[in-house]
Amino acid sequence: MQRRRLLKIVGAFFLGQALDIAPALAATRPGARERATFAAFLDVLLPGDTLSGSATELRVDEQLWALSDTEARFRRLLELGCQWLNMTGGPPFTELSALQQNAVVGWMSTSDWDQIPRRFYELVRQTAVEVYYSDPAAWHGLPIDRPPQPLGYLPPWQ
Amino acid sequence: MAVNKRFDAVVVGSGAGGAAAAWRLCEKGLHVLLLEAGPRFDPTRDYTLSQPDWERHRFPEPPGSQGKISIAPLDRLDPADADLRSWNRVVGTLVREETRQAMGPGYHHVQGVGGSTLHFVGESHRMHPDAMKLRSQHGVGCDWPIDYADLEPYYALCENLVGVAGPPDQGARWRSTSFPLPAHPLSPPAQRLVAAGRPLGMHWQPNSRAALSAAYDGRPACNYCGNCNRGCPIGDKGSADVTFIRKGLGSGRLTLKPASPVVRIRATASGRIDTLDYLEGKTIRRIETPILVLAAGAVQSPRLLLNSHGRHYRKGLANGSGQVGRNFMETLSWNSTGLVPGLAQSHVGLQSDAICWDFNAPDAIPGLIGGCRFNSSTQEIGFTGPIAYALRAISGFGKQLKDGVRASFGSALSVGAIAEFLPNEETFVELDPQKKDRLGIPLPRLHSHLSRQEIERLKFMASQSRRLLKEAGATELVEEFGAWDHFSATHVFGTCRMGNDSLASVVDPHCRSHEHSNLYITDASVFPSSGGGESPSLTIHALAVRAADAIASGTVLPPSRRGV
Repeated sequence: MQRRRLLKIVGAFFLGQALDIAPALAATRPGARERATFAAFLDVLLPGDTLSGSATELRVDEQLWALSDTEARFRRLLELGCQWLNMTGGPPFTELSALQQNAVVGWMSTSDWDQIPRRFYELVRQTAVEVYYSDPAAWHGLPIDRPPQPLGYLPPWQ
Repeated sequence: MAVNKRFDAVVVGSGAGGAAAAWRLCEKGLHVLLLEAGPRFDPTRDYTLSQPDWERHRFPEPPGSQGKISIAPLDRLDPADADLRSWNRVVGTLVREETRQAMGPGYHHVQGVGGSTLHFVGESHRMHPDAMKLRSQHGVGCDWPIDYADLEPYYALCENLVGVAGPPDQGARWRSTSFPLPAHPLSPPAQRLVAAGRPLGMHWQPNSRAALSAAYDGRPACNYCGNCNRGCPIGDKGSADVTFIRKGLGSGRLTLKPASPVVRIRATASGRIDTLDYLEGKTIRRIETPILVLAAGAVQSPRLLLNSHGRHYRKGLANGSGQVGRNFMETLSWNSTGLVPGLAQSHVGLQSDAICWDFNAPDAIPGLIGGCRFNSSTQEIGFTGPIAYALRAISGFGKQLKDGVRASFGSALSVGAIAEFLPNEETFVELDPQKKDRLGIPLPRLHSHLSRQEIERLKFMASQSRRLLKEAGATELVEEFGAWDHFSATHVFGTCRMGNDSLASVVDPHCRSHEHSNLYITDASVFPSSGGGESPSLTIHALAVRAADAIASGTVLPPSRRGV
């Protein structure tokens, strides 16, 4: 069910979009460098803090790689996005300082909608957030500590 | 092909109209076959609100639970109306195209035992009496051939069966009895809207809801989890499966067949509907139809009738008037959301628990004909978990994102609005000339056009919603979406219009086909007008039970037949 939901998000994202992500080119499995780049990117999106772990600590990366195994366009976008992160003119993304990584991701978040960096940022943010906040370990600091059922939220309320 | 066991009546579709008709016919002693195209859901297995990842699941969509449709190209968007664009703080503009786009499937419905009541919020509304007389009182749209008074006893009966909870003050919607249950307590966001409405002169009140405010008829009280439209796992929501169908099955006279889509209805040259074909597994079965009650909804019902054309009925069944599929009315809706500092726990409580009827009468919006209503919509549109905040309300990434979700969670305040949709020539349902389903049956193709009146009504709803949120203390809006750029229909009406004139309508005031004396239609396709934002399920129930009484008593006047 979770995978189906993510596939829907990915499908809806590509539906009618101008950017052509050719799935046929996506044949390679992610190598160690690509995995490390993606993990670093995810931890910039969703870093750990005193209340909850980072994206990779909550294994968001593993779930998104699993999704990419079954969605060729998503796999291809991850491949292109990670390539771009390592071709910004300086050291590989994983070797940048936290400040530099934030600056790169910040630029991506406002870049041209029809180019790879922005699409990569948007789709990975969307899917990562879904996976991350589905884990109760991410709820620390929020006024919820359980799913809505079976107990509900009985009045009186504030 | 062998013709199967004869029932007294066959009902097609187990949603609000089919379930209510089937129950009433059983209660009157008839043996009824209820055919449902979709599956039967198991609330404890299929509804996932107890799982940690509950927020990622909408209402479940197992195979067969969605009817395929196609949507014809929609209106070009006029930049002059761009203040009605859909957007949120994270993504920005939600429709980047220059034309109106379908949101998701466009037509949001459920095929399954209980139909779309399974995922409905569960508002339980009576029509405003004047909204049934648009033509005679205001010169637009179409009058209903019956009055509020004709429906009132059936409203009361259905409210008692479902267990509706509501407040006594119902304005123009006079009542012969009180609601069976008291109104629900107002949730934190609803309380905020009530208070904000006061200085603006808006009167808000508890909404009448098909959800139990106390244990009732063997069902438990609501526990206010705030997620009715993801599927109610405890059974307090008055969906048709736990109300009419449960009682129908209890009578011992109801035979229910899920996963049994009807593929064709057959009529004799004399006009009698004699059999229908439905799919069971991989086998087409044929069954006699002494009485046929069609209740597949305002999209699938006209599709079935149009597709059942033949030598004697070249335009389709019940379509001598040419009105089957015409007069389609969709959902004219708006939603605005803001973050309100100091507001907490806006994720708890019953969905749509407060409503404002001030602008619901047909002439209540200044300068326009056709009313609307406003309602508390924070939980209904999904601001009940952190994913919604992170995807829609809090932009950016990193520490800003995580801290923003923590700081804002529970402070979203949303106001929704739904309005009258007047029928127009460019809004209709037809058979798709190219696209077909797995059985080779043409898909229904939906056409929709928003007239200037609809757009002006949307502008009023948007403007009033923004004023209200500002008064409520929203420091900024974070999301708005509506029907101007999104085709997103939940309530659909009109495609088998009810009327006295057989040249201008499909069914008579008792929902009986003008042309086929044993064919009744009991879904929202018979509505001559949509109402000023009223949710339709209760009116569908009432019409269906009234039609069933007419069937059972045999008191219906002969239909005004015409040559075919």
